[in-house]
Amino acid sequence: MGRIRQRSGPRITLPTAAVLRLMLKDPTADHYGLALAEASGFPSGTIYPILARLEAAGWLASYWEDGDPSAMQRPRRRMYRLTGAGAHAAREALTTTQRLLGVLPPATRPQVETT
Amino acid sequence: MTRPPHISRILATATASSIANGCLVGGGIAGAYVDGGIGDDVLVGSLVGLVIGLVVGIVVGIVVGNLVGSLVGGLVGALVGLVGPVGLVGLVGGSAVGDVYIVVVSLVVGFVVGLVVGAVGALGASIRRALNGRVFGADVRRARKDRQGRTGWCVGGGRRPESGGVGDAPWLAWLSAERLAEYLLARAVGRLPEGFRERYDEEWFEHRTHRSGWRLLWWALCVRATAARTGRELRDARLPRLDR
Repeated sequence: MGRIRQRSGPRITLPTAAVLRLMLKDPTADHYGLALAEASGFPSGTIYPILARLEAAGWLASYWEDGDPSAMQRPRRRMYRLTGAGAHAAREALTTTQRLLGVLPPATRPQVETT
Repeated sequence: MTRPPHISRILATATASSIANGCLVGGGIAGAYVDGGIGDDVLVGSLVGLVIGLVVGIVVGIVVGNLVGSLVGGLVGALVGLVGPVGLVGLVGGSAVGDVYIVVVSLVVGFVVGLVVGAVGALGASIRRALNGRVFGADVRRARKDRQGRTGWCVGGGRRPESGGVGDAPWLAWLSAERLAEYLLARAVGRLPEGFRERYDEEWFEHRTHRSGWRLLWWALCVRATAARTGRELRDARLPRLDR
């Protein structure tokens, strides 16, 4: 699969774009891995590396949810949220990807390299 | 009275096998009666009996809690009986087709065959448990030890069953999706960088509580298959980025 590596930031594959699009629907909301997998339709095995990559790039921040597992009657979840810079970069990345796919008209030449 | 597990296993297998055999012979005889003689209908009846025997064997197995043993017993009993009725009918002659003798002998033979199959199955289960302890034991024990006192809560409350959710059927332990998933996740965590293992172990532990059965197994396989990639993403993040 062709991958797009922006000058600064993680690789944007199709599943990555799907995850970003889901998270950008509500950039301030908290998400957890399994819900993202189910919402995007990609297997969990695809989602975890993406979340790791985006978090490593600083686009996402993750933290353990508050609350006592005993009171919640379930283990605590690892929550993911777009950072401010991450949300901005994600929008740009999605726009670039859409232009490359021909969904949007080309505005400026995107700085990309294919790996 | 509580019987030792292996006795229950042997009895369940033998019962399923004899029921399968009885159904099979009954089907054969019924076929012969309908046609008024012995011919292809015996075979057809036997095949119908084989199917009935398998179904009965599975039902008995589910009730007793020993699906695999009963399935194997029912299959072997049915296959033995597939040949048995034809030979027995030929032995006693066409005039004795409806003799109860055939059914009794067939049931006894089926029970004996079932006992042997059950005993072999019990031996196989013991070997499997020994191998399980050696092959799977270390990873699973390590994962459980790491998690002890940290996150043991399941959906619906209570701690996760240590047996892997197989209840009273140790025979099925190696087929348990819970146990296999635990093994796969333990291996997956092992592919991650040292500093991230505990975090992902806990994150995946929460996620696995949402799945069960084959869905859990498929999920764990996906996680295991991509664990190396997840680990690589995490390792890459520690390296200086050349494209920044």
